Amino acid sequence: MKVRNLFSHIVLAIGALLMAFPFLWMIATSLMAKVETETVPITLWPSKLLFANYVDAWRRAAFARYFINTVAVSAAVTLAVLFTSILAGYAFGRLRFRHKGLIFGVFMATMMVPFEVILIPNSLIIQRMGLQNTYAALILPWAANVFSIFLLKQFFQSLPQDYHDAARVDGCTEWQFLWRIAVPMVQPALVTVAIFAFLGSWNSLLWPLIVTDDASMRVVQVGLSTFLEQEQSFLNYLMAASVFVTAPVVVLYLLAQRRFIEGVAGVGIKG
Amino acid sequence: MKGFAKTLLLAAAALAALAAPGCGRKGDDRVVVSFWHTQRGTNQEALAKIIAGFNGSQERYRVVAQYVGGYDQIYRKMVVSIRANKPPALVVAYESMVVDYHKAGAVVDLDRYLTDPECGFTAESLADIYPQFIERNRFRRYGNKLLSFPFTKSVLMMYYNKGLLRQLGYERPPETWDEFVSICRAAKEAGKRGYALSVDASTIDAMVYSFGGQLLSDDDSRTLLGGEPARAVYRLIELMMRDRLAYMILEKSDDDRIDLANGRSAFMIRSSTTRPFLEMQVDELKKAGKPSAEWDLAIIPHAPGVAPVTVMFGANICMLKTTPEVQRGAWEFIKHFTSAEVTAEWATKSGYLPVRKSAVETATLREFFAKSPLARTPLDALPHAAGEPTVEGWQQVRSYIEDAERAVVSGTAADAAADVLAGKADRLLAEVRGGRELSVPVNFSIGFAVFACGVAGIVWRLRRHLG
Repeated sequence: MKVRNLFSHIVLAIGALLMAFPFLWMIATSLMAKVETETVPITLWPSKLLFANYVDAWRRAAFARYFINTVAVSAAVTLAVLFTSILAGYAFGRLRFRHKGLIFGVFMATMMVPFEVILIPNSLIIQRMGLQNTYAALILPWAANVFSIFLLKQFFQSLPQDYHDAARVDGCTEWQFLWRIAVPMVQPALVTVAIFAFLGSWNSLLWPLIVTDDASMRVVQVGLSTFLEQEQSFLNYLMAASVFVTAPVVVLYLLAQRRFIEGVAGVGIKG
Repeated sequence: MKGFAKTLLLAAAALAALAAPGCGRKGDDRVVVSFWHTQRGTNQEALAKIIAGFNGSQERYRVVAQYVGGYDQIYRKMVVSIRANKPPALVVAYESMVVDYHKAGAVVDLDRYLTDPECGFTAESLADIYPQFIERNRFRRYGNKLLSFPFTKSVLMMYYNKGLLRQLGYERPPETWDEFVSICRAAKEAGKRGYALSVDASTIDAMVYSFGGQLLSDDDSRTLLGGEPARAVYRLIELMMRDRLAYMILEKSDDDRIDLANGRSAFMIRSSTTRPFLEMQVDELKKAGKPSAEWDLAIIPHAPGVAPVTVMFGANICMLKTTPEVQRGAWEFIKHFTSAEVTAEWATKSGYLPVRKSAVETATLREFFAKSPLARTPLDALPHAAGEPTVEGWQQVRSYIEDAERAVVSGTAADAAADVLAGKADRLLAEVRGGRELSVPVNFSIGFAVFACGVAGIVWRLRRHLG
């Protein structure tokens, strides 16, 4: 038994190291001089720790503005996705209506459509709605997400019917049951949905480039691309910027880690 | 519930507040000429300085430059803006993109400005622009119209490790591919790497020329990629990979430049725009006390009996149909950007070639060449530079050329790869000539609608299980 435990721990430790290695490399590279990042063989530890890289990277692009935009857009998208997914997930998970299976199937089918296919039609719609270069253009197309709806549907479906019956006997409407009883009970799933929505929005690059024109409307990922020039890349600055761009997401994940794992683990629950 | 609603309201208010400063921004009265480009970093700074110079000299026009991502992103954004009838005044574009924009009816024929007695170029001024650059922007299929103007021009060059070659007993760079292979073999035996191969269609195109071949038949109806020169190129790559005289670098990386700067490899073949960055990297290595290569650049090798040749490439600037006033402002900017002084300044800052012959005589370039003599070599190679095809569909053919190169690198026989390439490329060009539209989302939408109907049918059959 002890040998098996030891073996498991070794395997897990190797896995953890493999997962952590890119982050360690990112941090190490962020502290190197540019010349060190372009030296062969590759060095994994900077000869001198250049913390000034972080200041330089911050100054080389309008990161303050990019952060404000990204936080605002990501937060708005997250709230919007939560709102729409709760309503749709509850409807599919607990309500009875005609052609529910068909409608849900069509919803699910849209997950098979790659982003590239809808990119141009979506941006045309945004243009024709007069929303080009606005926050609405960055938020509206992402305000609903089928995967999140699916996730919440599974959770709402898993809630015991007794809660619903008891609430209805006590005079609770469907709407009140949703917000007062069901939503608090599916918190792990909400955290998961929120993290996925936030991450998706935080990492978007192509869509913001297409629907915004002013530099003041751009997001952090555009800032990162500053360091990748056509003929050279500033790997040290890119990694320094990646550290401060990744940090909020890592912190968010660490704060919500337990709920997130519960949420993912609960997807298979069938009521 | 109330908490969630409050959060939503607060978020909406915060966004409105954030958007507010942008609404009340005051501009001047000048006509705005929007210019979408792909330049970043130092090039973007140099471009901004040139634009500031133009804006400072103008009473009627003001150029507003916008970085819109890479070429792929700028193309997608253009497709949308053309369809929404809101294109920018100027956009940076490769020839294949210009063709697509022209087909959508969005491109201004620049000949009308070029020959305009009031604002056009004089015959002398026009003759001062390298003719290859102008020819490259004329489109045979569309009545030889000038649909774009040279912007970021460069030529393909061979960079070599001069110190290593000397050490191996070679006092000059290889002139033929046989010499190139011999040097790579000698480098391998000396424990160094030979040719750092970067998968790139333009390099293959240049190599086809250097074997005495052409890429398209005279009437542009079919490719010549199945011909002997193209096969010779792929056989050369096959041989070099098999004998480990070449190695493929990570695509879109700078690994070939890094290896050459560090003295690990003998050759790389890249755009002349790589020169300043290689120069900079070697200087940094020297300053840091690390080993670095003594390097130089030359025109790519050729087959015996074939004159030296390379390809010129780079993007152009394309004027879109907007209003006569905006178009006139856009033309004034093109004239400014291609003036001798400005093109000289752009060349020194960006590493691109000046578009005017007289730029070489400016103090800016004279001083620059005195300081960086290697910068002169690509300009000397320009008379040997040929353009790549600009026919419709060539952008797709380029990806086939690269697929064939990857296949050969991965072990496919050169002749088999060339056969597949020629077949696919010719079929594509035939389809394009036959009216098949490229990059038009409508066709894709029809395909998607059929796909969606199919999915809906399956869902209908499985609806009980899904509920």
